[in-house]
Amino acid sequence: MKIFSVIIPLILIFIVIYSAIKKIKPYDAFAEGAGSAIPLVFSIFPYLATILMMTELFEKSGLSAKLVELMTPVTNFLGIPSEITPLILLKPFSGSGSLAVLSEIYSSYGADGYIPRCASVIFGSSETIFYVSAVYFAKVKEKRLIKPIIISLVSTFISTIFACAVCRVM
Amino acid sequence: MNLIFTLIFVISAAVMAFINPESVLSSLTNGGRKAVELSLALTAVYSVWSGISAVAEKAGINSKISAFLSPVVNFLFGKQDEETKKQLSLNLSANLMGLGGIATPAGIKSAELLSAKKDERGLNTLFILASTSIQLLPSTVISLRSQFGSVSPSDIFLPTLLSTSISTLSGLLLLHIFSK
Repeated sequence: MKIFSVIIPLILIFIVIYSAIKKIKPYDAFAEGAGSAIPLVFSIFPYLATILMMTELFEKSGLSAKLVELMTPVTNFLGIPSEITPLILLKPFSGSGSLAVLSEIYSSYGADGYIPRCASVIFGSSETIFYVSAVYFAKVKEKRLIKPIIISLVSTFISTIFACAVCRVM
Repeated sequence: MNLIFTLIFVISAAVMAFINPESVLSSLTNGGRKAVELSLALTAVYSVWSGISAVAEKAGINSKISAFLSPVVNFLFGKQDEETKKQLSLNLSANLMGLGGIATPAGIKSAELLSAKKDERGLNTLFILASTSIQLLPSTVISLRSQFGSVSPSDIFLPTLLSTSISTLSGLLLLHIFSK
């Protein structure tokens, strides 16, 4: 893994040296770019706050746990172990929440073996869909989100079923 | 999204009002606090990467990436102007490498440009690519597994790559079917 950690510093060094060769002013350009971070975060904050409050209510009310219970027969039928169902339901809403679930799976089952590996693949191959939608559509005036969100959720679910199958052989 | 928000908000708050009414407000505040903390963290990340990205932009590196990825962008998004193509290429290449600090600002700019042209298909494609996460290296999972004493923490690399490719492909396919 050491090789990977060197890549990013190398890219950064390359960019700065290259800009110096091209005779642009790296200090001024960097400062200008860095400044744009604040208006950017300003524009995504309203949706970020709303989504995170919604997620918090969803988890704390026990609604998410109830949905896991309801989903379990269906997911079991599709070959998804019930230990993993909470992860699947939580991941689209909450990165930190699903990371906590993943850690719990590791501490109860270890980091190797079918269930932990399957959970790892599901975590690594899916995104916090609602968070991404809040951020990417923050500056879009007419937000028509329902179709893309459903397509993303369905696609992620398909890849989840695939992950549970592939982890049995790989 | 308004429907999802209303449903989750009303049902959750109603359930909590019965069981533990004090927790409704404290949960909301907690969510708000998470948003503030996350925003601060994001500001730090974006100021680093937007700074670097601005240097790369001025030095002409971003245009080179855009020229290199041009066939992919043309295939996925059709005809777009130079600036949109550049932002889309940056978003795609950074997402692939797991560099959210570059991918997200470029993604937001791409979305803004696409929506100004009322290109809903393009917007949806952009969102599906980002939300089905084509990523080459699942670094969070690998480092967490090694903390929990896995014998070979990176042995999930190939299954993860296959699985994430399947979600992206099926996302694009479903979008294609339902865009008619």
